[in-house]
Amino acid sequence: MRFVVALLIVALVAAGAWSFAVASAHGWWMPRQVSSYGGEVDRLFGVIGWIIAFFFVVVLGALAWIVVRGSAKRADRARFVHGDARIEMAWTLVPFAILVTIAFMQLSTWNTIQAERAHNGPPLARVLAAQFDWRFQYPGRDGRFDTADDFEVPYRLVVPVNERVVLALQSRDVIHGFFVPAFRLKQDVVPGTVLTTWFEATEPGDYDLVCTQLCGFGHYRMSGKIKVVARADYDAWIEQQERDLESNGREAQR
Amino acid sequence: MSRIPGRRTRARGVSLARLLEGSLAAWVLVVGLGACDFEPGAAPMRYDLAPSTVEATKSAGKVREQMETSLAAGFGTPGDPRYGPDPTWQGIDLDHPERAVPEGSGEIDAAHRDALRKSNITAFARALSDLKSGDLAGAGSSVKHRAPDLGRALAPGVAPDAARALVEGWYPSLRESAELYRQECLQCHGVEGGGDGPMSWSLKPRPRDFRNGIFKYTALEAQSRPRRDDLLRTLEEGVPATSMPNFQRLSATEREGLVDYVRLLSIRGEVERALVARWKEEDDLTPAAFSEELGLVWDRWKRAPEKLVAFDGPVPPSTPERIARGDALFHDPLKANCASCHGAAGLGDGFASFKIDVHGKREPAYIDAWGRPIAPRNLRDGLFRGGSRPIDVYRRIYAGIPGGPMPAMGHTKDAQGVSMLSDEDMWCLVHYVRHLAHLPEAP
Repeated sequence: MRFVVALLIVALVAAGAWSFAVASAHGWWMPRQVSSYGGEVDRLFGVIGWIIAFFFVVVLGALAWIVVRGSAKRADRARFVHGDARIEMAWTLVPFAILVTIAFMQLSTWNTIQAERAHNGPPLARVLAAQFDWRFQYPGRDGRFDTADDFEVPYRLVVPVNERVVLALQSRDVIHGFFVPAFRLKQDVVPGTVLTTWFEATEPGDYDLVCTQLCGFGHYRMSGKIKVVARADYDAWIEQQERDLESNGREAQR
Repeated sequence: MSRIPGRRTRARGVSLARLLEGSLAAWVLVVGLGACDFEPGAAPMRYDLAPSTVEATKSAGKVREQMETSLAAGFGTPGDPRYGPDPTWQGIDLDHPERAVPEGSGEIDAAHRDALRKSNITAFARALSDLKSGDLAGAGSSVKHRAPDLGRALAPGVAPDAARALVEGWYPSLRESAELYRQECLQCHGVEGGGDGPMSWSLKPRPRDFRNGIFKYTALEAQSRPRRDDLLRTLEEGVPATSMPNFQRLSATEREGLVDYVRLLSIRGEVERALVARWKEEDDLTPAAFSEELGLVWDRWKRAPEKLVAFDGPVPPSTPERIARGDALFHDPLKANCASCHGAAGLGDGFASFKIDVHGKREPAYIDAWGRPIAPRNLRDGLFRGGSRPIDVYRRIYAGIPGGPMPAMGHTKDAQGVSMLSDEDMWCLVHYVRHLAHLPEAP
């Protein structure tokens, strides 16, 4: 029996390692990153991932060993151990050291993504999150919000490539999560306040935007796209939207 | 045995635990298997009569049966829907563009058809590029049962050219659209489109009941039925500040198919209401009643495109003068008089739209076409349900909003028969209302 248990534990480790190894081949891994700070996030993720993988193997190995070693048939009588100062110091100090290391390692990335956001200029667009929809408000030609040339689009946020894009996130109802996996960007959207976030996409394309805070029964379908285009295409798109704003209802199909 | 005291007790304990474990596992298995949908769409669904119909025909079971039979004959079931006069009816059949579709708002023109083909093939290309090294199995799985034809095109072993042709010519059949409706819309809008799906109770405002043919946000005069484009617009944009999301996740062709199906549900509901009204009036239903009423209903849908509200010439731009004039008109009781309902500050708290009940509680004074109390919109919250472009706001003001108390200001005339508001007045109001939306919302 104890060998079966030990075997199961070893199998668990093996399954973990296997899924880790084949993940990218099956598209289970995160999508390829295409933002200026995505590489930093991935590096941190890798470091933390390897630390976790190491301890996963160590801890489960120890568990398997204890199951085999400590079985009723083999063990001596149980004895009372009050504690072992050395072991306790070890399992306190080692995690402490690891956490402090990680804390210092991530400082600059955190600074890039969170603290620098205030220095990146005015928002390109407002993100309005609501159950269960993303809408985007653009300031229009004059670059100022809340003027007559503002326009609003659902689902697809269009942004220029290789430029810092600042977004002002607002929620109309509950907490939503603004998550763009390809940019390694995740920021909660909290009702009653405006939070800014920023990214710089490095490649044109359509990237998924998903909600990562359980926001109600339609949460699973609260998705959108970030469409990254060249600056010229972006300007042309803005111009197109502005023309649409001046529609008299005849030329457009709707 | 006696060497180990307590052994018997332990053995019994184990068996009890086993029993518990076993029954738990069995329970999980039964419930789990029960919840699994092995053959989606296989469960027999049917269109029920509206509660109002059932109520009206309470004492006339025969008439109710007759209605049910003729509606089922005309519109089929949710698993096999069909459209009365032409069983193959849908917006268009991309494989057979020459096949006749009912004239009027059912047609998709050639340019639109080509756009659909293109969007199909773009989506197809994207699905293919998502897959590594020609492994086609994954791409079809999500569409396999709701769009069997498309699923077949993406199945392994199909020659690329054949797959491409299949995809390009794909337009959902009514059956496929009904399946998509079941997945995407039914939880709120209900099987018959009655706005009574299982989640509808939790939504505010409640989901639209399609069965009276009234759709609020169209580009048309208030009394007309929506065009395809109006319904498509709602699917593309959603309705902000309500629970209706946009459906750009779906392909353009899938949205077209949903429009077909929503129209079917709406027409079915209208025919049902018409049959009840006719029976009440004539105390009898002749066998021809169904097709006569269907003809009348379809006629309203067919003529929708004639009722477009548009403006000739360029839209007058927003200027401070226009906003100031709009402000004056908004508050003028002898002109637009918007403030009486929407409030002096546009907060939707005007005196005319509320009544005070005996307990001193303020409640909406008006009831909408669906029998629910309706309060005026807060124009300060920055979201326009029917679109925020000037022309969208113009249409709301000009034609009013069907189903509710918002009047068609474009048709309001004074005692001398002269329009209360000129075109210029209307645009001043439009710009003022958009300006209100851009002001910070009062606390």
